[in-house]
Amino acid sequence: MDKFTYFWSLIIIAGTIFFIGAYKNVFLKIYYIIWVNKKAQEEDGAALTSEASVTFPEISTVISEALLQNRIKNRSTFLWFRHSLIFFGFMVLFFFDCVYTVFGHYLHHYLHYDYFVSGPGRAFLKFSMQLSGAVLFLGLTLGLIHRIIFAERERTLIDVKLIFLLWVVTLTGFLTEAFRLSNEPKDPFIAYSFISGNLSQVLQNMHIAGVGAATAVWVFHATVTVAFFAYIPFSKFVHIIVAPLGRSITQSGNYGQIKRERITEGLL
Amino acid sequence: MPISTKTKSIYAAVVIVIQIYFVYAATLYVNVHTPAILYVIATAAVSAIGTVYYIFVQANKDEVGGYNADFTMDERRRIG
Repeated sequence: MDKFTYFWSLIIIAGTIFFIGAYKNVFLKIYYIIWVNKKAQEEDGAALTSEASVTFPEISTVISEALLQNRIKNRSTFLWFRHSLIFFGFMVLFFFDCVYTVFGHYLHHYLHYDYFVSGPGRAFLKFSMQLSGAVLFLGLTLGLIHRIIFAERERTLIDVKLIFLLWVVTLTGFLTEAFRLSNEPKDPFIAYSFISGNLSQVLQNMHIAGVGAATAVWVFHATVTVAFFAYIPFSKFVHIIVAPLGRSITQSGNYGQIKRERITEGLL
Repeated sequence: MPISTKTKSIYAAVVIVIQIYFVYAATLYVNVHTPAILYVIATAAVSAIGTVYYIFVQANKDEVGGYNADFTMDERRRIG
């Protein structure tokens, strides 16, 4: 089996696991909340205001709590800084990776253009992915160090295995590009891969950058990356998807108050 | 049961369409004239069957338990 057969089979399996997990832990639960709200409105329409029946938070709440992460800032500036590095690093990297996949790998098969394949677009995407990857890697490294130092206090809040998994994904991403570049040292965009380009020279000097090693690192990176995405809905990583919705619990005003009361009643 | 069969069918259909798209995308990289593509197709077929089984059989059982007040706490913990 060649590496692309393995990769695409893996993508299909992981995608299926992701969507099954999303169905179980996200879709069904949101659907249930909507169903309960609708039922409560039908049974007690007069008492339930239209504001309280809305499942989703206001945009201002999403911006304040999911984007700017003000609640983490209230806890600690360091934790806010660390989480912001991870959040923005991940989001920007994911965005540019999607753009690179679509425009650099697929669409040029149908629409003939050079901009993202061998033109300035490729240079921009390479540079952006390296920069956002570095931001993400720094945030994850700070997170790992903090979690190890304050293990007792942070144990219930932070799953160190998850941070380590994403840290490995990011590190192997840099290494995969470095091994590729060490086998293609005349790549015209090597300067834009400013971290992996330098790493590739180190690998060349160490004489460990053969085609076989490059393939092995590529396969390992693909496997851990796909495993990470498949694991999202089953782990604390699910907050990547549901945090903007879940933030409605802390929304000010009538809605957040009623939602908290309803959950408390449910627990009792 | 709060979730309708129609909604489940739409969700399952979306997942299967994505799986089919992945097979199509794979043909850009995997030689379609070799048995390698059969691995990809077989994986997609098994995944599609798994998706339908989970949504219409396994999740169905869990939903009945999850929304039934008489269900035991152990069973609720199993569902998660």
